[in-house]
Amino acid sequence: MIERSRSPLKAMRNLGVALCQPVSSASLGAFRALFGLVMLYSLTRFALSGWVEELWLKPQLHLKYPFAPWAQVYHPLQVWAQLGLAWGGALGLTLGLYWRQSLLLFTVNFVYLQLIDLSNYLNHYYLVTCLSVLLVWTPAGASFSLDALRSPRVASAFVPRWSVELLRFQVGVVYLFAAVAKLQPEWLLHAQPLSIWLSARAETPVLGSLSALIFEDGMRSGTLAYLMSWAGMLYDLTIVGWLLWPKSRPWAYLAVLSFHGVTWLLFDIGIFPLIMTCATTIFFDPSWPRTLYRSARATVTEPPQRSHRSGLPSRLTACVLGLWLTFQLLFPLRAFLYEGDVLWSERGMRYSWRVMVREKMGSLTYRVKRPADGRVWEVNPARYLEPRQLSELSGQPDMIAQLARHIASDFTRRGMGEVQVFAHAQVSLNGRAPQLLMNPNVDLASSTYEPEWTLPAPSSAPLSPNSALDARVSHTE
Amino acid sequence: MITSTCMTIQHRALNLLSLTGLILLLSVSGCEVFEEPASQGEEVSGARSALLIGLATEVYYPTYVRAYESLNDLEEAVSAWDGERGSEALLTAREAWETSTLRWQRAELMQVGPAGQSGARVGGEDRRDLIYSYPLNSPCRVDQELLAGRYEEEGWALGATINAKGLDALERLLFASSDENLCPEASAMNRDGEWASWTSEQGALSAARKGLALVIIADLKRHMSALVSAWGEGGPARVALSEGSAPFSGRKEALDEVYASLFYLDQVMKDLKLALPLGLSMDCAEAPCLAELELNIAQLSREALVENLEGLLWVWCGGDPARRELHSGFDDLLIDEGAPELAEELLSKTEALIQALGDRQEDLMTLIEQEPEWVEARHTELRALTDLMKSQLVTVLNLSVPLEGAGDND
Repeated sequence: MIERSRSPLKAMRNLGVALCQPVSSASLGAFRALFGLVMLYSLTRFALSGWVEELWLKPQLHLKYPFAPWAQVYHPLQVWAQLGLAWGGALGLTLGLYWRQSLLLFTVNFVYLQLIDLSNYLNHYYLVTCLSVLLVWTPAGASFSLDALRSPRVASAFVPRWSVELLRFQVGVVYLFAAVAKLQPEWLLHAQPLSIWLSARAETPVLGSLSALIFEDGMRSGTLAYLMSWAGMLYDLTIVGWLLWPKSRPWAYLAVLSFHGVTWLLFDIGIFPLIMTCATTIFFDPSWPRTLYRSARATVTEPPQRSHRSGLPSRLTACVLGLWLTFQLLFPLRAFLYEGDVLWSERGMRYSWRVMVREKMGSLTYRVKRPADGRVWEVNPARYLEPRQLSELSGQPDMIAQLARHIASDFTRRGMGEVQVFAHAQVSLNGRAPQLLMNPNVDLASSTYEPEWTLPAPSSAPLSPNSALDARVSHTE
Repeated sequence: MITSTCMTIQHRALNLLSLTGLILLLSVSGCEVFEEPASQGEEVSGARSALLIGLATEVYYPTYVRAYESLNDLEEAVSAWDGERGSEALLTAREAWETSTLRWQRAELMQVGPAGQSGARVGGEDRRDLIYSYPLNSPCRVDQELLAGRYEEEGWALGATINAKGLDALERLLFASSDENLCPEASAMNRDGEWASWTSEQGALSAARKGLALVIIADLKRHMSALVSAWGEGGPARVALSEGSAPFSGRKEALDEVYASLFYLDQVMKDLKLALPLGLSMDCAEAPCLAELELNIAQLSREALVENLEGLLWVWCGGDPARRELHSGFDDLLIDEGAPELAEELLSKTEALIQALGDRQEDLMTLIEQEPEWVEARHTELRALTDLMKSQLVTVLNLSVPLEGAGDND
């Protein structure tokens, strides 16, 4: 009895000891530098591609995160200044110059900019936020940093293992939940939305020609769509394991390069392939950069004999990180607590790593009614939103409701009286015939109970690669 | 020994792969820093390619030719007119204008390439706005030009604002019901009595009407001729759309631009031509807003809608709907993509609307006054069509929403 109760404790203690063991600081330092470099690229891209204007300055209305209504554009210069500060932070992070302060500078400004408009939400920006938040607790400036060069106190050839495992955990979580999101009939049995996306990308350089050599229908081949759907799911589900196993690691990284290279060629997913290509290096042996470059420091092969306690995080660090890990493990699962299909209702969609798993577009019109005299208006949301915002909003109930509330207050502000606002939202999911997403009888201006907004998900099957093939055959006949 | 060798090989392979990863990262960030991920190339599915070729050769080009050809009759009729109201020649001129205007209405959903707005559409040259400025048309602006008389100057049309010329300005000139102007009382021409003084001169207004009309027609011929050349055999717009070549970055963008042109159905036909006069729009203070009807002086708003829809039908079919089987249109592409029901629904909804609007004889103004529910029902049907266009069509064909702007996805 006593033995049984001590066993888990012993295991926990052993785990604690293992996590505090020193490992080479090289991979953590490389991770920091690469992450900073990718952020530099990303922010430069923002500045030079006109996205500052598109995402923050042009919209007359920003859709707010419920928990961050304070994040606003107060002045165009503010956005440029924050972008500049984030850029400076990313530069400092890359060089390892005042790296922790630089990381904080980058994170605060990057996160603020992302919080300005809910329609700008992207999973990879959320990933950037998560990695930034975690990195700040680690000794990531111990190597490959100017800080290490100028201050021996910062320089260290070794870091506690937990600091590396922490980042492995975060990257692993992304893959794990991305795989969970694909374990559904839409993805596995109907090969959607990949079939739709591939069909429209028959002209992709190299891949288009290559697929045409293998499949009769090239990129439009149903077989290819199924193969890629299943391969994508298996990749997400297993890649962390393959990367952790030294024997399979080279081939696994080749798979990482191939997978993200293909997604980079096929889809406009920006820096996501770059982030993941860099981030997965954290699964390598911690000394990999030194082995690679055969630097002088690589001659230090044996870690110093230190008590495992020297690698212990502070109590505050341990608490914060513990909470973070728990949140990361549980929060993405919340969609399973809600009724209905998350791809349709979107409840539990954000922050759950459901990356590229649906093709969804809607046509939205608001019907505004003034109870006082019964007059009815039809309001096109394009009146308030930029096309990019609109394409995000049209299939997402919480945003649709938020704009409804804004329309009601706009009517009041214009002296048009108190109004009720109803949404007519016809939405097509993965090529299906459009169906009403929102309950057209619910006054969204007054309703705050999210479950009553949406109607059930379509019961019909999505567009199938087979139906495309059948249609072509019957049309030819 | 063997294990050690394997480990060495693995280490080397790992190093090599790490290096490859770094090179990939550096090459991506260094060499192609500000380019979007390439998604365009040369190979494209047959149905998409056929659709683009079909639209260029069987839809856009013949539509512009048809509109351009009608201008000769219009020019002839206006030349024979003395500028007076009530003359026999005026009726002929009005008929010719109606023909030209309705033929142009068919092209309204085809604002791809040079007809599109510069800056907003790929290859846009603003030709459409220079031909027809609705909803920015302004009868008062035309009256101001009549009074100013600068239209006689060389190159006037090149510098004139879009609402001082075009088919909409001709409507004002040919359908004026009196010699009064349509500018506000407080405007300079009325406040200072300039207009009254000028129109009191015998024949001044008539001569100006005819003179301005002829200058406008010459300008119309110039712009329509430019469109005909652009879409004719070997024309730059035809080649670009058919091949997805510059200014398009590929066939995908070319098809996206075609899709963008269809938003006329939503933003202009549904919201401006129907919802606004019906009083369903926020811009209508007190319903109905009949003054907002398109072509309301000539009372052609219903016919204009029918022609818009006919143009849409041509686009769906990729050519003359009467010979559907000979063309490659959106219907064929949708069948090819496994959505034949959607193809059928788009066609049948469009045809039903044409039939419903075409069967009525009254002008839209009369219909809104007398049977607003009937017009609202047509508005609802049009919305059902735009719903399909903005939801299922865009997902099945994986098109990009117009002016969505650059950005990432995941």
